[in-house]
Amino acid sequence: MQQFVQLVVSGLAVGSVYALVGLAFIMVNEATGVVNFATGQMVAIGCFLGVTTSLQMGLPLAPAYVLALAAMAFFGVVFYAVVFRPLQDRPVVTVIIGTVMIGIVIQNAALMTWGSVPFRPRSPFGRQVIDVFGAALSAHALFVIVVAFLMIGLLYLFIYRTAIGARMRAVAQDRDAARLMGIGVDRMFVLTWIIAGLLTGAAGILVGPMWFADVNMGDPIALKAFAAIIIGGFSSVPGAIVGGILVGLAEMLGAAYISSAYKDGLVFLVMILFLLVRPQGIFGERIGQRA
Amino acid sequence: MGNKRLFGRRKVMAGAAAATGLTIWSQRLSAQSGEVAVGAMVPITGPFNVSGQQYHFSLQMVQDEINAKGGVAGKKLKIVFEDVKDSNSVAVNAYLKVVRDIEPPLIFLSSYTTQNLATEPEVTKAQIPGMYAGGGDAMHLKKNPWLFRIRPHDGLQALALAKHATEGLGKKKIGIIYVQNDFGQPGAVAAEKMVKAAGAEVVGMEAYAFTDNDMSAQLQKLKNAGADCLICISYGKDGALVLKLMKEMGIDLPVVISSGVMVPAARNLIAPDELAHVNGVMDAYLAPERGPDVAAYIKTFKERFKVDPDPFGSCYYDGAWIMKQVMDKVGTDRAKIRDELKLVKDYKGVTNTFTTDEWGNMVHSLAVFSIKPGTRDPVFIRTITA
Repeated sequence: MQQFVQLVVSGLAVGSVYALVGLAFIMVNEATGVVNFATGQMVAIGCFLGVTTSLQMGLPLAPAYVLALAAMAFFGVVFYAVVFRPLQDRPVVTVIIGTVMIGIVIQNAALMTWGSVPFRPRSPFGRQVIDVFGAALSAHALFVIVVAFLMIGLLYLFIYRTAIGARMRAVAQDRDAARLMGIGVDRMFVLTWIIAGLLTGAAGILVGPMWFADVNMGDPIALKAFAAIIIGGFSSVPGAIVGGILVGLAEMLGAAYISSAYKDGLVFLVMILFLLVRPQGIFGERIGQRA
Repeated sequence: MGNKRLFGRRKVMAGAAAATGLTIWSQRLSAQSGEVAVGAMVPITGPFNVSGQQYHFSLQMVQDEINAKGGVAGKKLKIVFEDVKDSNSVAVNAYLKVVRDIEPPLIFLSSYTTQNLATEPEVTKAQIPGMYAGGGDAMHLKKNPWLFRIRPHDGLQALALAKHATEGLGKKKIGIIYVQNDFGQPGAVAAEKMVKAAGAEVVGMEAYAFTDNDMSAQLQKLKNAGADCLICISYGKDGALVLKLMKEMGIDLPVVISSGVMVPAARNLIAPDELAHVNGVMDAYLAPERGPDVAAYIKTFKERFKVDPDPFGSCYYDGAWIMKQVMDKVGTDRAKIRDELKLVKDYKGVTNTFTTDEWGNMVHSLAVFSIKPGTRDPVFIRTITA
């Protein structure tokens, strides 16, 4: 039982991170029609900005996190201005290749800036362990779960309960109609990239103390988050959350009770099954339902 | 307006291409007369860069030192570096490019076995002696007469891990956790055999992927299986994660861990209390107390590159000095260099003593360390020889 609790908490923590990154994928895809293949690298940059503000600049963690997230929001704007805007009228495949290429640029720029040796970022809870019914749970893992769900809740409220959120949804549904209705489509795009920057930045800051910070950390996270949104539904916010949690739990429980050697295979097998049997995912809507 | 936007796009694409090193026309490498140019296949960028950087630094340093002492075969030494990233195909193409462009008398191959396995058929075709540091036994089993390994092979590491866990620590129920690739998997199988041969039991073997960041499930399974000691076959960061997770999960077992975790960059990721029950093997005992040459090497390296040298990269330093000794004697004829490398015996370098065996392995011992309580400092225990 203790083992099960430990594994579930670890799975939820990892799954929460996948959910955040999955939401970043979805936000960008819904608003712009582009799958951003530099999402993983944005997670790494978020983590390293946290390293810079907390370890290298020596700031207390709260202002360090705020500063790092502000930098990620700015990074989102730069990404929009440098990558998306110049390419937005090109075929989608061109934009996707652009995001792949910029991902490589980001990764190598991070390597030149922070070097190849990993860092161990600080956690607000240090290395504290909490005993719950005999199971030793990392306080930071619990913190990750709480913060991730708080962010997801705030994002949900923002998208579905505010006027700006309604405009963003309008742009996602039909860009031209939204423009004709007087919505500033470009401003919504900028906002989308800012949100993507904040989500990936938060994911990077949260995973750093769990997994260490290294410049290649983003790829596996993005890959699992991508699997999560395919399972949950590519256009669905609840889908990203459920998909992320399912992938996180499948990894942990699959490794413990089925086979550690095939735990990734298990996740991607589920993803392939969804693509074959239910390509819209658990919560995704069929294209025809979007109108 | 249209022209302006097109120009903007071009600038973006060109800038990005330049930053990633993507060039449409790859420039030919060159060596000038009066120089002996040798190739070096180094993971300069990408995930293998942690050890690649040390390899790169070691060869930069040795190039300057050799040239300060008259070069090789009476000529200036030029080491032509090619980035092999983390890709086998990039490694093969880099090798072919170096062979085509500078026709070197010797090439330093990658420090990763997968890349060297991919390159090995080209080495046979090119018939150019190569020195490499990848540990995988699959390389020396090919018995390629042109290849020479300048660090201990993984089979020897598995022997050292198993021997120290059973004979050294006296443990009887061993759990093995390993990275699932051609380094970890054969190492785990070899360690299992050796643990059993020592009369102990292997209570579980758990794998994780190279890119995994959470091994709690595997550790929990080994604990539940009743392990009284873990053997961990890992690289640096993943091994550090295993030790961190063990502390967090309250798994208080002794760990005998492979060399990747014992290098300074990896040890610095681990808190001293997480290292409390750790014993590890290292390719070499790279410490000033080993003698003035080693002390001078460590001091010069640290002053120049601002990091401590590690044994993975430093073996290339030794390899380059062996190359100089050989070329000073026989010149730059490839077959003569190969034949002379086969005869290397008891060459004392900064990392190890080098003697070539029938498989092309030049190093035949490993050092075992514990950690000084409350610190990250390794304490030498013993040497294990093949």
